[in-house]
Amino acid sequence: MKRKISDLQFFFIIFVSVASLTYFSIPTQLVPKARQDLWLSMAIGAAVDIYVAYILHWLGRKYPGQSLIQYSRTVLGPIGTLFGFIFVLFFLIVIVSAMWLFCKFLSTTLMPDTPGIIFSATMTLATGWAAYHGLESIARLAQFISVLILSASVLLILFSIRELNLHYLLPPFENGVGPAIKGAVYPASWFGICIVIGMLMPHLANPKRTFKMKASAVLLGAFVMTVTFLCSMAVIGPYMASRIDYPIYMFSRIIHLAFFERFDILLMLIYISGTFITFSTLYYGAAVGAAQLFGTRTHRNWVKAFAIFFVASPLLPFSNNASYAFLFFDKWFPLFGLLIEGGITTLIFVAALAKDRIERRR
Amino acid sequence: MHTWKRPYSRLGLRLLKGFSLLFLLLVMSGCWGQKNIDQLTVVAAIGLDAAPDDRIEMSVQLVNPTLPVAAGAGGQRRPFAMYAAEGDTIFEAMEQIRKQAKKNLFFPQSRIILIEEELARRGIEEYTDFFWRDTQQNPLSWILISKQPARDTLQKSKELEDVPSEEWSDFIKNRRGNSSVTLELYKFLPRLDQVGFQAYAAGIAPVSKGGEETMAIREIAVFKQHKLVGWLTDRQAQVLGWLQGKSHNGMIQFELQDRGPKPVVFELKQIKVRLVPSVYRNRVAYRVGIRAKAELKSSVKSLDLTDVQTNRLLEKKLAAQIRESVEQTIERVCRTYNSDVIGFGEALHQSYPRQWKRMKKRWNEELADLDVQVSVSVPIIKTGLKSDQRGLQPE
Amino acid sequence: MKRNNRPLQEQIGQFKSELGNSADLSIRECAVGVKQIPIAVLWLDGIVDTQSLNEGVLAPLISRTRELDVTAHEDLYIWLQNSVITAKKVSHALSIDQAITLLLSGHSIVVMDGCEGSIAVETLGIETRSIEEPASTVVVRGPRDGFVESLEVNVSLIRRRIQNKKLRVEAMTVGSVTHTSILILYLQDRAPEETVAEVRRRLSQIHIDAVLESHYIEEIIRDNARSLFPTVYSTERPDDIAGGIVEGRVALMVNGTPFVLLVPCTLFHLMKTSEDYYLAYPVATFVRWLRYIGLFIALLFPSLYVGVLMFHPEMVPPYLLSSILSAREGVPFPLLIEALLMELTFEGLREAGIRMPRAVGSAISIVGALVIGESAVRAGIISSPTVIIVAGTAISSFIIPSIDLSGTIRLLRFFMLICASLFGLYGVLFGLILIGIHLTTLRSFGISYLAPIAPYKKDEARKTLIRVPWWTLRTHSRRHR
Repeated sequence: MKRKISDLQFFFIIFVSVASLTYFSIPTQLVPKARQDLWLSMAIGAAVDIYVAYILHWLGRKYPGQSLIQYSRTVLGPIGTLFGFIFVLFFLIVIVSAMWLFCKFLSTTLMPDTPGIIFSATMTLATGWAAYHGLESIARLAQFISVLILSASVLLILFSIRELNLHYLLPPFENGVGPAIKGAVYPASWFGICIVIGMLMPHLANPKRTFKMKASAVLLGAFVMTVTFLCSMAVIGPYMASRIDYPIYMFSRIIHLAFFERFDILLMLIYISGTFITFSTLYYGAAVGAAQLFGTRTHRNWVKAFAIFFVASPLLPFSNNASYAFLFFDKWFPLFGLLIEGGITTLIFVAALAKDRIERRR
Repeated sequence: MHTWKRPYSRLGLRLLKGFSLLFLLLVMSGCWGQKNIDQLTVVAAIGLDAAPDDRIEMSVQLVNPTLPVAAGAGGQRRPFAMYAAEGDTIFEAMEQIRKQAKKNLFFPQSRIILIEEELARRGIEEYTDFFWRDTQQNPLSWILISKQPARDTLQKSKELEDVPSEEWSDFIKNRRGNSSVTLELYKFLPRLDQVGFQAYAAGIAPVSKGGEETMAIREIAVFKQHKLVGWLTDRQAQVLGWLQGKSHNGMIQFELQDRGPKPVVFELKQIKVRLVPSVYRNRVAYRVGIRAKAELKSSVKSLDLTDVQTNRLLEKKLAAQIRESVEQTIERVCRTYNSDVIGFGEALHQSYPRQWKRMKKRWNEELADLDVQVSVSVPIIKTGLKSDQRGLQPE
Repeated sequence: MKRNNRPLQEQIGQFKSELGNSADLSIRECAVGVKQIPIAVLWLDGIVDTQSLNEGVLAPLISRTRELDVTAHEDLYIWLQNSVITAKKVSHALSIDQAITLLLSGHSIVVMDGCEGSIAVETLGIETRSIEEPASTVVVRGPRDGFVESLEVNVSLIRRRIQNKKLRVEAMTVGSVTHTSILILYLQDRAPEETVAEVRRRLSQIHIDAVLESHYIEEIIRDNARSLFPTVYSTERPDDIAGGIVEGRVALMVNGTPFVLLVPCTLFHLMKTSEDYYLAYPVATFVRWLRYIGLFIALLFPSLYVGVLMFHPEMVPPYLLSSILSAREGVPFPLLIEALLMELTFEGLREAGIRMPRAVGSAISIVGALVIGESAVRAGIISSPTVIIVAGTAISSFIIPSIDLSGTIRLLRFFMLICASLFGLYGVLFGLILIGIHLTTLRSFGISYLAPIAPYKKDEARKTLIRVPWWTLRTHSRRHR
């Protein structure tokens, strides 16, 4: 029996994924490049994501009950199967990269003496278990966690108002619009993780509202995070923001809520729980996708199979070499990410459109 | 016959595994990343001194944990201790200190970073990297420049509170009536690198009172890049505080002539400063506008404030005094020390980025001839309880 | 009635031997009718109400049949059953096994000479406790009657509250040795048909030998047997059960225990008490929120303490950190061991306090807490912040209304403590996430354990978080799912 998730739960899943991904992965790359114009990058990224969301929504409505993997096979035949394979691989790579970033972040800031593999092992355990039990479980947890994230972000922004120095956000576009547009690849590629909704759509109780929910969730997530980024720049200044690896973390360290001095730890914990939702959803999507590709009945075995990859993420070869890592996240990941998220989905979309027209003409 | 045996033995095996895991966990607990709090000592202040041969001496003021008086603590223990060591880099010095103190140093709650004047003059460029990278440092610690070696300041100060750096940081945090303002670490560090927005820090120096020394936080040290170039007097420091938007209050005193100079003191409240650059034909000019509300605090000469003339005179004198202070400060900073502590460059950057890009390289030369106009508007609002009226019959 | 030639004595002998010549089997032989046909009445002393036996069975049999002249045994049977025996409930017992089953449940058996089969008369009269205040809960405002061990009295306590013809009462027997009676109560138009059917199905699958308390059943019929969390609600208070039945839930009464079960049950049901509805709604909402906070404190307090101090001491304000560090000086144990020791000691004290006779019990807890704690701190074995933490945790765990849930939280507290000692606050988060995942997969008779918060149903969620005032509730069309 397929248990459905409601559109509100869907909204929360997307919102949480967007917000927590943004916290961990985007600032390192985006802030030094775009600085105070990053709102434009975020906006462009969100727009790209909404475009992809529209495509997926249309495809999902055209082939109801089928997931991304399944209808790409339907539309494009064997090429579709190849695409499906690429998608699953993509999900896996995303999880591994994000896990790597996650472990590095935590090892540097939160718990300095802990080896990264502890984080990846525990997170894999938790997310694997959630993915094992299915989407419903993830969705329910997402409800709680999204409320936490929203309130924590709002609190952070509110309490930073005193320290804000809005002059730091000037001048806009001091190097032209170029850096902001170029910087847009980062949020676009990371937001595009949400093509996992292609895997989730068959489980929605109300598929008609997919687009609306997804778009508003991405917008809300991007908005909240953009305001957070801007506030952090307004407090610590663009110079410092572009030289520190984790500007948001530094920002949360400086703000204090009345007596509560180290808000950063609390904030980090809340975002970690958001990351948990992101990972579980992706994990679930990958496992279900693999199950559909290879024709296994249940996704659970795939959950177990993939676990080893994720646990090993911080141990990847070359990963500790800073230049390789930088290259990967700076160039390769956004490029391939966009190609897969935007490019392949557009291909499928166009092919489905064409097929539709051909069939209508008959 | 065999069917009932298996579930029991499996359960037994599972229990055994569970218990051994539990035991292992308990024993191993905290292998990773645990901070042994029994070995922890909280660092309240860090001091950096210049040592011969281009070395640096680092000192730390450690807090001896004591129960608050209400909990029945005695007064017998020293509330704080000071350790110092030398090294080529901060890290090396820290290692030496650790060997002396035999405990782990806990930095995240440090409140003050003291830099000795000599070291600051020599240049702190080599040491800032440590503060950028180390996650354990408290970005909210205040920077103070110490006129005597930091080691002595940390050791000898006797304040009202047990731990001196607590008292200093409380003083700085409470901005009312402060003339010396200073920066937190997270603001200080980036300014060392920027041209348009240089760093500054308050000074701390001992003041003797009949044998016992307390520390006074006064004056402001001006930095140019990584080096200290000079000091601002208290009055100039006050002005700098206003220009930076850090302090919104101040006292102004001037003299009225009435059979000899009679001082009049005003307190300024709600001081708002606006720094507006304007570009005209590739030349940059600034307008500094100051608005405040003045309160008469004390006057030796008796005044009649119902008289419009008197009021106007006072206000004019007040404005003139303020303007003079500000202009003098700006001159000192820009011309004498040639360091843009006030932030003219940054203001230009924010409003006219293209001009700024052009002028950035020669900014310090530009600074010396900067065209600044100061306008002051300070109405007298309150006069306290005493009513100043002529026409009152003397008793 | 079949006629056979079994003499009365043989039949009596059969009964006696089946029961092993039990000492409490009583036999009254008498003769009926003009012809003085011998009959015998058998019963078990102690579970029979002597008065109804006398008035309803013996007296009519003996006195009212004196003038009657009946020969045909069939007529005699029917006639005895329909017209003579005046007790409330009469039935046929065709075989001796049926007769014995009925005999064991308080019936009196009338055996007749030369007849197969017997008449069973219900004369159950067990000594039962009078209705008094429930011992497991303290009632501040609200009815003070509590269930007793007898099924009839318990049903009566519900019937008098819900005087509705749609209240269904179904009987079942479980326990292959004890043959305990169980009653299922529900309102037909409110309880979902699937739930009732599921309850019936699960009860019919119980194959244990003895059912002495409702908890036996609870463990077997609950959804997720391995979970620590209770998914069945049990209480001694009739107003609780009546409220639940009106909401559309199903109640299970077990003979011999005053604890009645209620299914389905969610986490939020366990955190409610019926007294919420008897207090003013702002106060009730406040108390409800206090309970939720208490739940978290009971679960997390020690682990937060250990996690923060061991991994992130910078989170503690400086003065507090200073005083904690100085309080810990000289303490020989590492923080985790100290916390564990105190927690286990407290649990031990708690258990001991339950078994103490009333007069001594309260003294022990005060003595234990204050004196032992104080002396231990003085001796330097533990530090005073730890005592505060443990005491705070203990008090919060009493805020939780359900004993089962409270027990679960007590156990999970140790799990969280270990997580905290391994990974600090990240470990606490990890533990919470694991518990969260587990909770989201729990179901209780078809309803997810975390309903109505997740999946979110606005009205129900509102009612859970806030105690909404009465003038917005209890509309005619209200349906609880």
